[in-house]
Amino acid sequence: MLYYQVSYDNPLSHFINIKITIPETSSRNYTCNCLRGVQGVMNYKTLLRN
Amino acid sequence: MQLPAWRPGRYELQNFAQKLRGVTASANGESIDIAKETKDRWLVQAAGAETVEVNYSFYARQMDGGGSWLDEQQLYLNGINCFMAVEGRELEACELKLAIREDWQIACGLSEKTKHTLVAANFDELVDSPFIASATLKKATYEVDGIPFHIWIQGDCKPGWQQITQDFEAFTKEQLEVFGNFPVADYHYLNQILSYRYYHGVEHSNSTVITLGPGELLMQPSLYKEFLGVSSHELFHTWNIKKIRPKEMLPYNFAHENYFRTGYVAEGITTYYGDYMLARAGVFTAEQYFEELNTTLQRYFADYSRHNLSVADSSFDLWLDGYKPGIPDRKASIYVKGALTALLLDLQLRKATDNNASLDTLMRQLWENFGKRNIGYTEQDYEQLVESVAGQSFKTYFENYINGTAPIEEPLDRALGYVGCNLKATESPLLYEQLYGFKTVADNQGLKISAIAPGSPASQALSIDDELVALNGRKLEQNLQPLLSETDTSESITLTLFRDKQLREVRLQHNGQSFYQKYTIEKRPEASEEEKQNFKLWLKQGF
Repeated sequence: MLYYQVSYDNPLSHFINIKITIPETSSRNYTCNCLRGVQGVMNYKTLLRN
Repeated sequence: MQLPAWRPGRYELQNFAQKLRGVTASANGESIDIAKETKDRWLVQAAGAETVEVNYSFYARQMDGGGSWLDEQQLYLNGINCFMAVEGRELEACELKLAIREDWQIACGLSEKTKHTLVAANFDELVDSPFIASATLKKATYEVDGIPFHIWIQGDCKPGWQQITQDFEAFTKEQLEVFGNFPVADYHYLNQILSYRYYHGVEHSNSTVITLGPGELLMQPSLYKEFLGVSSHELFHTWNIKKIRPKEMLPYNFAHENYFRTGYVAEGITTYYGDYMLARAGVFTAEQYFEELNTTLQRYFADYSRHNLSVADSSFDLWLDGYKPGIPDRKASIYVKGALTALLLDLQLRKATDNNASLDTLMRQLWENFGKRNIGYTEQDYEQLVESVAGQSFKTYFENYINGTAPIEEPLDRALGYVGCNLKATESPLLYEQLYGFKTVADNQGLKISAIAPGSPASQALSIDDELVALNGRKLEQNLQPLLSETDTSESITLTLFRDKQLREVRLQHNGQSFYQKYTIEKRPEASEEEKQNFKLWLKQGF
């Protein structure tokens, strides 16, 4: 699970704050070297097979 | 970490990274190194830390169907604009926590795990689920086949809910009849009703964002028909593009261009069906539907680029200049030409099969054979399917009108004949368009040349952005047409104009050709009973 949080300080500034919390960074195997959106596991597997 | 560079629905790079500020990373409360590798890709040095945090701010001030907005009344976010993906972990579930006012409600296709915390199955779902959070959201829900469809409205307006839900239910039923079932468990129309004139919609897997205005006119016929039209169009996308997807975009690659040549299917057929479903559902009369078709025809014939680039090539070039006027007469609109070629295909399929098949049959098969099975279709798949539905070769259709630039007038007129109608050409009522081949636009600086027909008298004498100041020595003050109508146009005319701040005089002589003809679809009074019956099968309305 990845954690995204959105907050803001001053709505008149139109700036929002984004915090992404990425757990378990050391235990993951980062296999994919390009960002591909996914449409479910099947497609992702297809991509990895390619 | 990779930030998307574009968003599905608009096939051009938008480089959202330009709206980011102060990108930092930390672990165990300590700052760690984060370095930019490309314009929107960052490498974080986790240095063995178990949990890493990435922080940045994003400028949310773009109010349209694909943008994001923050003010005191609402937080509206399209995650595709601002959420980075963690490369290699795109399949993991994502939790999205919104630190917003306690009394704000959230309109979104994602479910709320706990108050103000949403969950997505993966990164793709996260960024395909825009939301509006506000204390002033209004909502109505209708059901079709047990599926709830939620219509959310943010903004000042007085929605006539009874009328809205009745009409929405009617076109939803009609669309479900085409495909047989709905791809998702629920659906959310997120409407941003604005205080100014605006029209934009963007599709998502189980939602759409529609920005429309001005709010005080929402229930007036002129804006209400746009509200219905865009809502029907976006709902049709739930099948056609979100599920029935070109192979080149399954899955999406958010970091780069995803070139595809079948925009005439994704957007053209959807544009055709958006209004067509309203007619078939009885929400539009045939006359109202023809008005919409005629608007599409006007757009098509007002643009000589139809002679230059095919709709398939124009689809490929969306990534180049698909969403701006671009240079004159270069590219076709996948929406406009795509919709007309869809109409042509629908009528030709009906004729070829004696009404046993139609574009509905084709769409249903695309859904069953590709969309439902998560298989992307290719140009060849689509062509083969068309021929299989038609039971005959459609080579001419593809060569001439999809991959070529052959004139569509004659085949469209013939196809319309099958349903007792025809394509009627009339001269432009504006004499400067008809006789000399130029269009104008009025702005603060006066009357400017906005378009010139190739081969016209204007093409030999005028240039884009020329500022017209006089006709035959008479000052022009929004009176070009009345002055021309009192002029002997068998003689040449003299236009005085500024070009690059230099005053000039040019002469134009009508050459016997006419330009910028208008086309409309009309019922033929002499239509046969069989053609009237074909009309009824097509529109589900009497002739």
